[in-house]
Amino acid sequence: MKQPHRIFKSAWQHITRNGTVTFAAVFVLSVTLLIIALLIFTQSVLSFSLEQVAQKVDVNVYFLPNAPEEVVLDVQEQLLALEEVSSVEYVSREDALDAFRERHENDSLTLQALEELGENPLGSSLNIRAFEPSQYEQVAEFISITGPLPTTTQALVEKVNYYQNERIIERVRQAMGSVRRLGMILSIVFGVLSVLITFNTLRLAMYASREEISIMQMVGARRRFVQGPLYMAGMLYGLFAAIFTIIVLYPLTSWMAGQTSAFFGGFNVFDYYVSNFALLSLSLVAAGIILGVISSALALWMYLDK
Amino acid sequence: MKEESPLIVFDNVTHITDTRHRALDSVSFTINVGEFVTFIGRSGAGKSSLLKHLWAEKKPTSGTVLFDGYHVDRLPSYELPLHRRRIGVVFQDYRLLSHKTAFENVAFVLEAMGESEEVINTDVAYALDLVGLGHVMERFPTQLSAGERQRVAIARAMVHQPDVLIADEPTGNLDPEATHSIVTILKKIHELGTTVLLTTHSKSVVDDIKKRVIIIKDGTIVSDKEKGTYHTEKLEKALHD
Repeated sequence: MKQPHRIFKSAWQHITRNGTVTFAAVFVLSVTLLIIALLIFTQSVLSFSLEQVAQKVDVNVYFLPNAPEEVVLDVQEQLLALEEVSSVEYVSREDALDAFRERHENDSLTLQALEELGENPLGSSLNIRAFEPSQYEQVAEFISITGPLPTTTQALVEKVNYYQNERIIERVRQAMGSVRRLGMILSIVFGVLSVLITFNTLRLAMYASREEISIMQMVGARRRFVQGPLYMAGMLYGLFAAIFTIIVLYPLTSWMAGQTSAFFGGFNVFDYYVSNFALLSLSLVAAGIILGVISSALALWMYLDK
Repeated sequence: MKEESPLIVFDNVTHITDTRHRALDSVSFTINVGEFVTFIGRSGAGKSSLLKHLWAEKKPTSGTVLFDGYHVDRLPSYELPLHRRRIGVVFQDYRLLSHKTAFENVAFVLEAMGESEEVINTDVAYALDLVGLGHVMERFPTQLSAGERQRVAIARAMVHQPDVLIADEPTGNLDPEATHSIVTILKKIHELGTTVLLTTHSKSVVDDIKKRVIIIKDGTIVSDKEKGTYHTEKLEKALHD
């Protein structure tokens, strides 16, 4: 029962009395955790920016001027019932005309031509937003001639602009997918690099402890007594590095927020850090401890099992 | 006390290294409980290699090493810690942990064995007193003289009261005064009933101890005589040829 206390005590001595090795290990782990934190921020910034772009993309269904309002409102209801659709905005013929007049208020020729017509030539329309860019295709399919709408209703549809927006929607969809994939790949690559760098630093730490390990083995220490303090030291290196990284991120994100907020369309890194503090801290502490333990295990394997 | 019962048996032990060097060649001898045996030979003769077979750091290429009746070379890895606790080892280069105090270096062995704090405090103080270092327990190895470091190493080797104390060239780095002090401590430990195995390449140490002497040359035993009597010519040849 006294062993856990001794393991902690021995690990603590190892850390406090090998200042240079401790500094090197904590520094390398901190750099690694900082890279992980910056990756999380980058992923959030990119996702935020793409969400902004994605929100500007929609599908518009234009009806003929003679389409009755109740038919258009019925289509609006049916669209809202689709699980892919987040919102459907109805623009009446009058609203469309007002918007047209506003757009061309400096174009007297167009306005004069409109007056000469004597009636509203514009039809009503529906502005549809899906939850994901990839879902616009299903929405467009619903409205198309192969969709479930009655033929009489389809005949009242003048134009669906999905096919004009299709390319930009597809690009946004692909970009979001690429960002997610890239984020995943970068996380794995940096994760592996981190383990290798930390492992090599801790291997140096273990190298400094090789004498201790061989003496422990010589005096008949059991395996857990030999390994325990070194695993514990790895965990503590990870914990210290995580605490250090969390502290450093405060001024760093504060500075970055000022530099990047305008560039990233309003995304504030500092606000993100503050509002996600608990989750971010927990993730960094977990990542630090896991990296420390994996690196310790690899380094110990070099000295104990070979 | 189990006087004259065989504690260690080397039966025709040969050890060939990875570089095909014959470090030990058909070595056979028996050591009884309570004996003090000095192995003498020049550097590289095979003295340390021979002793490493006792705590299973090396395994014989052929032959048998028995300790208290069991085969050391056949011990499964989980039994090695228990076997090694029956042996205390002192090295020429002390092998103390620089970041631990004298007390902690000695206590370390008992901690590894899972002893209580009470036992550790009592036994470590006793062991350091035995080697005359009760007053420097809180000093780090770098704050001790070479002779004092070696005495801490002896206290560490003896604190758990092993059956055998192996001292591998313990006086190799020491001046004559410190050497005499270490030999005196080893004799005292032997008088308290511990089997002592000592390696040295110093004739004066052998003359000081006056116990059984085994002369080793090129991995073979060339002489094995009782009570400090040795074949002077063979010893001179083993040390200087």
